[in-house]
Amino acid sequence: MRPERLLLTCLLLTGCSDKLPIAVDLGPSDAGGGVAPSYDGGVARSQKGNLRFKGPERLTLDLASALELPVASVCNELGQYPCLNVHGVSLGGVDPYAHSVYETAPVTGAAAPIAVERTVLSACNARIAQDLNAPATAVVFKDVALTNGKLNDPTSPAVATALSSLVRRAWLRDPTQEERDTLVQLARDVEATGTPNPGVAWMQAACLAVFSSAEAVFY
Amino acid sequence: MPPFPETPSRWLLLGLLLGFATPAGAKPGGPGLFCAEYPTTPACQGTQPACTYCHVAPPQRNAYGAALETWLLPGRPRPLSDADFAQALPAALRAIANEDTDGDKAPNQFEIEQGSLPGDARSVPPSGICGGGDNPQFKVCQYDTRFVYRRLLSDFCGVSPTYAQLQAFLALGTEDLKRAFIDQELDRCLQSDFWRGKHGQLWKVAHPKIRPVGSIKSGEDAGQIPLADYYDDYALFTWSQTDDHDAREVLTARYFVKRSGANPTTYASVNTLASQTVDAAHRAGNMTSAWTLTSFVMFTALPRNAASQMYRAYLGLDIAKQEGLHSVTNEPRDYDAKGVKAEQCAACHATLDPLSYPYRNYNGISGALSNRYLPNRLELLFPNDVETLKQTPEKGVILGQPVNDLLEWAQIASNSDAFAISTVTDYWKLLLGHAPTPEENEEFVRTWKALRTTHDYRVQKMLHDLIRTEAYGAP
Repeated sequence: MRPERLLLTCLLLTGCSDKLPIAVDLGPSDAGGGVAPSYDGGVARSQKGNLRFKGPERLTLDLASALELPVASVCNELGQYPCLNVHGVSLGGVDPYAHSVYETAPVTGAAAPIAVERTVLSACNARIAQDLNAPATAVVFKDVALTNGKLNDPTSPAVATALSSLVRRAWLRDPTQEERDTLVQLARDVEATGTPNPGVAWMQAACLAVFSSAEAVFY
Repeated sequence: MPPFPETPSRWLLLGLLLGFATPAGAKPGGPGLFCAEYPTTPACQGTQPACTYCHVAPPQRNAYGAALETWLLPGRPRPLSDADFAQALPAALRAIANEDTDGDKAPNQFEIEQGSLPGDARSVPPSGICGGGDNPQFKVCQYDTRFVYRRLLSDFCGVSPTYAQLQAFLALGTEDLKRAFIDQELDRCLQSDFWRGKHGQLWKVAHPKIRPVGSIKSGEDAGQIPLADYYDDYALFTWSQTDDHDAREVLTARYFVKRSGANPTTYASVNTLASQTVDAAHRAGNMTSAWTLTSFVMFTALPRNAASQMYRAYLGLDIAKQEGLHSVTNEPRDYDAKGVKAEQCAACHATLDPLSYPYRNYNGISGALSNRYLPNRLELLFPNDVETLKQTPEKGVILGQPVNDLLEWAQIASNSDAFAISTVTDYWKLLLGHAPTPEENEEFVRTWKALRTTHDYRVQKMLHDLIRTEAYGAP
């Protein structure tokens, strides 16, 4: 998705919170953010391949917990209809009372990836808006300095810490150096598109990329 | 005078739905004979193979059934009598034991012993091969406590652990400490609203059993035509699956359960509820709830739909899929003159009709007499129906065992292997995403047998067993 579209979607979907979220303790972290050793290659393959898709309730609750948002502000279509309900069946949920959908569909629907992205993007936008509007209480993008909408320094320790924070919240581990470098490079790529607020667009893109990854939406 | 049950079109529809054709080629005794030959195989552990073990849909046979057929008294005119079939089947089974009828490179007997299907090339025995190598996040093919901790919190609490929680878990050190902590966490999550609250996971397990319809719900969240309140059914189901309660009471309870509050949601047993109208002497848990009678008995004289739904929902036996057929001699009698004696109907109705007779006095929808036990219901409410209808007995047969009434029906059902298997299968599907596979069969059988014995039908204790299986805990 192009960054300006991300920004537009952000404005459309951002929810408001009137409830203080529960703080997520990320544990000790060095100044540059934690980095895990790289482990590409030689990974043992599961014979079961039985990853479970989180589905509407777990996806919503995990986003709320990880991004320290009230559940009600994770994602609302048109600002008022919870995505959990609107996209519930698409996300592998049930709709027993109104539409007699008593069991989860045995296969993933075509709309599922879109519904995941909308839900994740909305939650990311809510978090970013709060972090930018109240920097003193920022949760993820703490001390990430912007000038004229641009990141001051994508290689700064604050950016590295923010990226480690994102990954720890979504994947429950530290990023590898390569993963972190890719997300830093994303800042430059977004800025190269000429979008007017590349710093915010990068935050949205990084958050979306991490929280909509397979590692974040399956368990 | 209460309104009479109506309308012929409903009868016709019911007849079409329940009197579907089961052609003469099907042999309902086949599964029992198969299990006599292979008593220790997975398909015969507390259950019997469905007709689809040998048939695509009777009389059409799959590869295994077709191979068997060639050894069944060749040259003898078809169809074989039941006696000839019973006499010839064991030898036919042995004759093709070493063949690979579905072409999946596994001999039939090996497939039968391993729990895969000898007539389906897509179903193959477990390979027993596990990938090697190390993985920094998962212990592939081994019970992985880190993986279990993450999955358990998601499954039962609805939310993943935080990074810090996971680090604290890993810092526990020994596997024994981690397993003990996992058990503690399971107990904590089993109290959560995500698990037991309104619309929680236990309600999700109950949806296909209760089959709610919002437009005719009464009470809380009432629909446009309020007829009965299925939240009572969810409450009893949840009660029966939680704390130190007996899971069988979902079918046998003489009491009701009242839900209240949220975070935490609490459930309490009560002797009366304004929304329930069957007298205490005739209650059988959710089998006789106002919702079951409204939705599954409805306007029917002989409630086959109610009986088959309870059979499907709580014993996992779907007669429409030719599961759980235990033909009763001289049945069906066709008291309501629906033509179910026809050969193509009788294969299922010889089980279904005796299963339904104990419902004969439980009334569905008819004004002030709705959702009640009415002695002589058929005589009272169906006076203009076919004369033989009144001869419908209250005595019936379930799983081959005669019962005097629906309460005995519920006792036999809830004490059966099928009930324990169905209960554990519900959670297997909820927590693993699929019914037990051949690879998982050994752990599955151990789990449902322990539910019946060691755990005395306590689901919470069974869940501790389930999360300790490799099926659940090995990524």
